[in-house]
Amino acid sequence: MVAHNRVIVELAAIPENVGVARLMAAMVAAQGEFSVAEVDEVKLAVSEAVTNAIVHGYRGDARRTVRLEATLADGTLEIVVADDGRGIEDVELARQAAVTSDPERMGLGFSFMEAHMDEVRVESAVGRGTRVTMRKRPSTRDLAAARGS
Amino acid sequence: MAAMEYELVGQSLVVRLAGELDLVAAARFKEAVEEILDRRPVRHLYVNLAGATFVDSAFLGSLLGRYRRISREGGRMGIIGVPPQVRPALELSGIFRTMDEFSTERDALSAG
Repeated sequence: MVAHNRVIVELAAIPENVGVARLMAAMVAAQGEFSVAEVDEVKLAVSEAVTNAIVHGYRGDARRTVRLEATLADGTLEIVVADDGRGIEDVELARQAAVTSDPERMGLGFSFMEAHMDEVRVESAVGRGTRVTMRKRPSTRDLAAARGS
Repeated sequence: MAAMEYELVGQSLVVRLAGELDLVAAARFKEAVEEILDRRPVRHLYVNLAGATFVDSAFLGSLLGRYRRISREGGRMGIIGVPPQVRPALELSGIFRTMDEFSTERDALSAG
């Protein structure tokens, strides 16, 4: 188990990099004491945040980049997904389920993040970008400590 | 990377999807299914997720988009073979409130 790690990557804002971001975050999470199911939850939350950055932040402008930070500190995983895109006018509204700007979408991005991470903080400024910070602690930590791992 | 396979059975289109189903798979699924719906006399749409290892809301949105068209035209849409690791996302999305779930393709196609 790795107690401390930090990985920072910049991804071109293309749909293919949503999977790259998931993989990166999952690899860092897997170094901690997260269960397989919890790593899956991290993947889903990261997928939602990076998709939002690409689809809403940059509206598909592939020349822009999304920044992903994955930090393990004292067993807690912190994920930051940041873009310099359009920003969100009303963060509270955007976080409500089924609020979407596109009929092809479900408006569940933030709901999925909140359901799978312990904390989700959204900072956004119109015309300047959005920064989503998510934290998760492993539920199996005490068990793992008891095993002496 | 997602894999997709399409089969027409009578008036039903069966789409089999495998791998990680996200924004990339959503775009491919939308494009391919819309093209088939434009050209062929399809009434019902069944999506077999038995090979899926990951599903996010971008992909679920592409299911919902097709559901709107299929139901508008009087058809039925169903989800087949949901693997345990993708079930939480589907449950959380509430998609089963609008689409029926089946264990196998045979169950879906014989549902009438």
